[in-house]
Amino acid sequence: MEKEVRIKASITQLIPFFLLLPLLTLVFVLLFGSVIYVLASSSHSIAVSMLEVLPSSYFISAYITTLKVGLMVVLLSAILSYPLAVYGRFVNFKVERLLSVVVFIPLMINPLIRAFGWMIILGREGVLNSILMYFHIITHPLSILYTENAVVLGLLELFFPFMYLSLYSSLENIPEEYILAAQSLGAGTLRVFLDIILPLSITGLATGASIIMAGCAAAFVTPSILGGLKVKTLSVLLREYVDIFLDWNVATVIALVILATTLLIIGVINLVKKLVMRW
Amino acid sequence: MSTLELVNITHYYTKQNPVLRDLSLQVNRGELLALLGESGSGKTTILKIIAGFLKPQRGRVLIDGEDCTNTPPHKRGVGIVFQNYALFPHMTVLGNIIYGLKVRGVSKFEAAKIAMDLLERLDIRDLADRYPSQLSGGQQQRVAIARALAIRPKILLMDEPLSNIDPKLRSRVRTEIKKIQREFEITTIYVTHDQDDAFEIGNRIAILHDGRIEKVDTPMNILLNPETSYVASFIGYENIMPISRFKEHFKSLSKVLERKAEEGYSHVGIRAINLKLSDRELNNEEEIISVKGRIVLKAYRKDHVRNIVETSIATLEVHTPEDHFKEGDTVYIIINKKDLVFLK
Amino acid sequence: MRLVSSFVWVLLATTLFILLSPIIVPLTVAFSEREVISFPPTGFTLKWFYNAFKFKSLVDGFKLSLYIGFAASSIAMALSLPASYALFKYSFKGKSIIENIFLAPSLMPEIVLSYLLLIYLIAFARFPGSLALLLGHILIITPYAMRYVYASLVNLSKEIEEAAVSLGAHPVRAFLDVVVPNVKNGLVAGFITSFVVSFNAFSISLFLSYGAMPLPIAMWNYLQVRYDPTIAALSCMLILFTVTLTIIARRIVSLRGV
Repeated sequence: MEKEVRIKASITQLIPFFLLLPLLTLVFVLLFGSVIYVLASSSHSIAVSMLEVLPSSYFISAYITTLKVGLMVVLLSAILSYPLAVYGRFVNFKVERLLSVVVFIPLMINPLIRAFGWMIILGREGVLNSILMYFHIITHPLSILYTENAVVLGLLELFFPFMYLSLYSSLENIPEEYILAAQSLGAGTLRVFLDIILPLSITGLATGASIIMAGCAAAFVTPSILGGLKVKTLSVLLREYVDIFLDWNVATVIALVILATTLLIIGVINLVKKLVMRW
Repeated sequence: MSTLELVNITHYYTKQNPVLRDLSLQVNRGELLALLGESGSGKTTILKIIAGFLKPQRGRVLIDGEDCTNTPPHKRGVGIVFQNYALFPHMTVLGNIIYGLKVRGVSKFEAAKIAMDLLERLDIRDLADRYPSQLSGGQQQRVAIARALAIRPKILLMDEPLSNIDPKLRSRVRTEIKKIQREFEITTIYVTHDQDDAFEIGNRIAILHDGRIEKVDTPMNILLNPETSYVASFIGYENIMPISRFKEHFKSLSKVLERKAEEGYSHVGIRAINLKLSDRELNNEEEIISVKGRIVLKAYRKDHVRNIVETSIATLEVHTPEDHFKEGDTVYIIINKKDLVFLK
Repeated sequence: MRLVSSFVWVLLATTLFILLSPIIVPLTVAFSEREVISFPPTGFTLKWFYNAFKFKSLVDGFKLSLYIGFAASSIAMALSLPASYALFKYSFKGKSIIENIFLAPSLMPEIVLSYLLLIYLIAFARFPGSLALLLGHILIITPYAMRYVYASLVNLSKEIEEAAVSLGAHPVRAFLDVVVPNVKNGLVAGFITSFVVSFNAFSISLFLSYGAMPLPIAMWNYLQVRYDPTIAALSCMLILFTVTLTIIARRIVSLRGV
């Protein structure tokens, strides 16, 4: 009787593991397994290739492009979101309601379609140029498509919702009373922003930045379509070496760099957030 | 009507902090036992152990004398009325009540009959087709009670039934619960942290403290003989003094007090309502002793005046029906010896 | 003050333009007469819509995306439900490690995963392409599925299950009778969201599709060589498709306030 009870008890303790097992196996075997396999099986050739790839001009320019584009998107999305989020949170709630709906629309739609849309807008005979020429603002069509700016715009559209939502949610945690208190003590709008709002919402900003930087490193469709042949991010480069050059050593190095950079960015920003929390 | 017995229950979540220490409790047939304890004292753990959701690390649970410590909860026949009622949101009131019967294979027809009968007796017949979200708190509670009673449980557990009830209605709901318990003749354990609650409703009260049952007895007996300082202060004894200080002032009682101290008692207690104030010392009768003091604070309550009096023994609280004295007055506190209780 | 608010409205207009114009513009171009894509669109025709159906790669791509979306979502939900339930109900040693493991797929860049699976599953383990593609999709959908299922479980009070058990129901029965019906809404919404994510996914399919290509890849290939309103028309139909699905999912979630 005692043994029966003990067996039953240990089985009950194991139930959660049985429930978790299928999903756990899947994630473990596929995700961790693939990383481990790739690292283990070609560690020698990866090491050799790294010496060749990392200093090369095509790699460095792609890396720089990726970072540049990422930072630009973070900057622009912050500049756009902050005023809108602050205004929507503390002044006029209608703005927030509108944005919270609009912001979700692009998320449902295929990035390919959106990149295609940007092609139409930014092309030499595209929407933007047609409008600018019509109003005689410019005489010659601007070539925006297939430049870095086009990629930035495309990724900005892609990632704006994340920065906005992340900022807004951290603003929601700031009680209105803080603003009122600061104002009653004599602080003007700018001071209120710099002294009260910014410090208290910096974690939201950090979260948004990490999502965007990681996303830009990983994004493929948008930079590949809008960047053309001259503007290449790391993921575009990766695809080239897999599909066109069929050089798997180089491709693996690039892939691992993308992964390492992503994890590094997320890790650093999490660390920064923890430090800010403590302070 | 069943009996419940907890035998030497010990349970801990971390080895250093046992929630229940060697706890034993006996619940008699058909009684409503109020389990009284502060928040975090382990009341919920006891409920879970009785119901079978937790297996105690040590000890046994006996229902009707049979050891059911290893019986899974769905076979124990313990009805539970949760603090938040836990009504199934996707079933109607009728569906909720029938559920336990459905699971036991009772025919739909039979089950509906039993359910309607319960609804009738609990005066919620019209609510049969409503969903829980459409009911008021009080209605939800009655449905929760009906649902638990439908399976004719051997034991009924009620977890803080009045916590979600409007304070103005609490007294009435309490009376109703008492009526229901008596009518259905079901052995019930009623968990609460409110002593007024426990005193009004319990046939007996079990006071839970520090993982053990400190005292279990009828409300009257607990009031007259709290036995320990914790129980005394918990149930509202306003004045608890160390025996040593008492001895210093009342030399005539020193023999009695020494004997009590040898028996293990460390404190003396007396209720504020049993003390009287007078402007002169009354020492003539056998039963009366008095001590001189000065009123430092007066507060007015609905039915009495609360006098805080500083004396050489301690600062004592005296409740008087009338307002004769002012703050700062010198008074004599009149104590009747039979109102004193000795505490461990 | 007036200055601040007009500044904000300008920002708002700019933001709305940036967010919405890439979606609206293809919709208008889809009906244009001219073969060359230009703005403003001229004429009105539905011929590009018919044209889209003429390309085998696009039609087959659509069917494959549907199939994979459905299969991957079903499997992901089926795996997520017990896993979320375990995390919700039980606490045990190593729980936070496991929670972090489940977080991992969202940290991995999709394109890197696609490449790694290419080497691991196809080159090394010699899995058939269709299986590798399906597994890849399941991996990227899982975080979404878990989120929805977990959120709907969290909304339920734990006591409901205990109530059912105390009334005599065997724990498994209690789960089926009391937890599942109330989680249904979250499950459906989670399924639809997972489906949309899979349907729109690009990077994961980039390296794993051999022979058969999901729709986004087929469309991308088309765009490498041709630039005409066909893609616009196709985009128009796809926008309608995914937006409708998402709206249905939203509606289901708000029904009965789950």
